[in-house]
Amino acid sequence: MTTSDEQVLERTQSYDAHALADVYDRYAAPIYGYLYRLLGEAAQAEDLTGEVFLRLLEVLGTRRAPRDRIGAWLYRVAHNLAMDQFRRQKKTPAIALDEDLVADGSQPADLVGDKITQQQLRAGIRRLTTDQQRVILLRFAEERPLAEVARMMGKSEGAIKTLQHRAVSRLRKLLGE
Amino acid sequence: MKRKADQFEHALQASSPGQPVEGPLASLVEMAHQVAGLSGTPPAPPQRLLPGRQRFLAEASRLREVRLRPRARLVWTLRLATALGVVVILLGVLFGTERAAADSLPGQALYGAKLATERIRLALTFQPESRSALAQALAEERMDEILALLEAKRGVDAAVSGRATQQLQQALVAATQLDDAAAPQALQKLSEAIQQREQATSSAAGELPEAPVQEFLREMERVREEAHRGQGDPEGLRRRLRNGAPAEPTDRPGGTPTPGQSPTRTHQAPSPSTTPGPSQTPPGPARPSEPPFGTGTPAQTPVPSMTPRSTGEPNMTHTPAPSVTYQPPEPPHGSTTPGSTQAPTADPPRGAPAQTQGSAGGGGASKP
Repeated sequence: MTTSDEQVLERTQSYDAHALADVYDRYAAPIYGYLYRLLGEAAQAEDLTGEVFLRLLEVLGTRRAPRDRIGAWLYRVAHNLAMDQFRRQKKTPAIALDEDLVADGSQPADLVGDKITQQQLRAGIRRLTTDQQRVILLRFAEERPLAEVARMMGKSEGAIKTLQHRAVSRLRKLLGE
Repeated sequence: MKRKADQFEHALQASSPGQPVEGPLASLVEMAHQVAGLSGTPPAPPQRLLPGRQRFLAEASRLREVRLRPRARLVWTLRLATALGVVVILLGVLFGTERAAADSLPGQALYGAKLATERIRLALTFQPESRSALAQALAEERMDEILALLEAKRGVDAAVSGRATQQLQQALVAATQLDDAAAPQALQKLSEAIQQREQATSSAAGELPEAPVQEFLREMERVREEAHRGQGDPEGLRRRLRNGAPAEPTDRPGGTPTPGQSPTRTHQAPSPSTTPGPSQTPPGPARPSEPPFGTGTPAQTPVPSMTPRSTGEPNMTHTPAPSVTYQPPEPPHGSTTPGSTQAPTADPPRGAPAQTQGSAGGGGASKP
């Protein structure tokens, strides 16, 4: 975390409007992307993105507030909210007919096939442990470097290597069933 | 496991999506590449995240009001409570000291604090009625102190008697500063307050005759006389005090005693300038007058027990209290010679001998 981030985080403790707007503008889009990859639903991901930032407001000024890495905190909350969402649905969500289906120039049949594959992937990912899900999404879906993922998850790079190896192995087994 | 994890990471780095992967970890690397299929740019959020931003900032503003205002109020409340606590403690200390000092007597540790408190109270009292009442209360306090000292067989020095005399004079002046309707009542109260204490003070002083005490007894009588006379003519008393005129003589041989006068008049000692004479030795059952200044003959010292003091320090009995400064009296018409027994004026003061010495003078200018 840079000094600037620390200063911003400190200012958020007093509900500084500029600092909070800065946090939202910096992290809202990445959080939305993370949630979208996990959920596969744009509207749902957008709603949960807003919810993530409201959770931030709730904990500011308390012991649960992020102390140093506000980005890591936001990702963790986003992931937990997504898992809560899955638990509430209790079933695999229907395939969303989002903008990609008509905006892209590909053949509709291929797109639907890709979509199903992606839904299967998401379904498999959701059966992993929380850390395995996060490392899969951050490391491969968001293509973040190993060191950054380690920093975001508060683990060593060696631990991330082990975690990602186990996650992919488990996912392959799940999708091969 | 760690070795496999490292090998997997190495294979990931060496491969790229779309390229065939070989080796024991090929299936895992392909799986990872499949997951990477999720990495495409996600579709733009339907509402561009703007509602979420507005809601976020609005909620932040609301929470800022709800959470920080009470905290700020709490901080100010704590500061105010601390300040009030300090004030209460200080007031408690001051009040406690004042209460403890209230019963102190001259020479005791807290007596200075008592006098300081009285000075502050007097300085902060501006209404003439309140000021007069306070001045009289303080005069009564001084008289009670002297009485307490005498009853305790403790000495009364010139400073103590001078302070008491000054307070009596101050009460007299304060009473005359009231309007004509209120002044007589205040003067009457002062006169009565003095009268109530004269007898006891005189009795106590009889056992412990001291020059300052005798002087103070004369001052009590003088002020009482002034107050009594001023009841009927407040303006006249004001004029006399304003002009720094001496108090009218209190010894009026052959005159009718003022109602309420106590036998303490019999303790009146002649002033140094007063020529002794038969008229100045009023019959007194309790104690004869002290000998005149410089005439301490045995024949004039009828009470042996008083002889050492009256003869040893005769001048002290005629010295005004050091803390009180009276205006020098204007000599009556025709009485330019010190020691003249009678002012040859058309309206002599009821046959009283003229006192040219300021010791018995009732000038209103008392030094604070």
